[in-house]
Amino acid sequence: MSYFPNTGPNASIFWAYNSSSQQNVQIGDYFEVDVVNEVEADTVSQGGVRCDVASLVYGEMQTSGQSGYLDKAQTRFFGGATAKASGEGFQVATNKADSYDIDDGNYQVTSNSSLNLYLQLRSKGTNAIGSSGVDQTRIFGIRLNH
Amino acid sequence: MTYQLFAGTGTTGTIAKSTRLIELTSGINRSVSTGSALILAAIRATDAGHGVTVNNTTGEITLPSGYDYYVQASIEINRNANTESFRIAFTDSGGTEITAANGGFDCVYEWHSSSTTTNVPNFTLSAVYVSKNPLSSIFLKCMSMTSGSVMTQETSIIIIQVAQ
Repeated sequence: MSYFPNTGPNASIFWAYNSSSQQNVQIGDYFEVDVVNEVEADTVSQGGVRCDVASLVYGEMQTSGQSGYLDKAQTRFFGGATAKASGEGFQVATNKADSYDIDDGNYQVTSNSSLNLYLQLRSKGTNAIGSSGVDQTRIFGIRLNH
Repeated sequence: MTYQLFAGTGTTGTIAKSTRLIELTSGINRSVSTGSALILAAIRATDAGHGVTVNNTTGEITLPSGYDYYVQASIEINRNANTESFRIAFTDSGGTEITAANGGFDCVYEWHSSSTTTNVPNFTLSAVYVSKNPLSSIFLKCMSMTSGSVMTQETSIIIIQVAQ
């Protein structure tokens, strides 16, 4: 299920998240959201938001590191007005030389678009096979103007 | 200055909604541990009249009614030891964590060894409270953190307040 911002009154802030963990997320897959606030259901079968007016959208995901869950995953927003590869959550041991810095959270400014905007798995670590799970996906949006 | 969001009918937007941006910072580094409230009492806003207050002793943040809120905390912690993990979340006035169903989303950092390549967590470094029926009083609290860690003065909260 996908969603787009409610076009009625009081729709300037919207947010969405998943109510339970999502399993078997592979590179290119979308992180799903199934609890939505101030957005309406669309007809597409994946979780996302559709920003039919210009919006600032922020999203991130969280895993606990338990066995079978995604590790060292990078995400990005995909779809919408643009597809921008802004990474988040690529966690490595930050005490180690030559390790990556941590970039947490995805932002995107969209223009009017009838395209859905998803949080997508861009890359992942070596855990990962089969049941790659995610504890929580979050998407927040501020609707700006048309 | 008051900014306007448009949230009217259709895609054109016909109803301007008074919107304020409010920033909370501490100005100093503060020692924190489990149960501590993060105290960010220096307020900067796009205009007066927002009504948001912060108690400089308890860290209580009051949110006037009649507005929608998006509250995002960007958190920087100087951990007590390399191996420390921490979790920070918004709570109600009784210290109970605000759940996702009520608009609360936590900030988690989980340390892992440099030799660990599997089953390592992906964390969130922003804590969020978002609501159209906001609590009048919230706190940003350390749900777990070892004594001796420090919240740096780079930590901040951004509040977007939209008139209903």
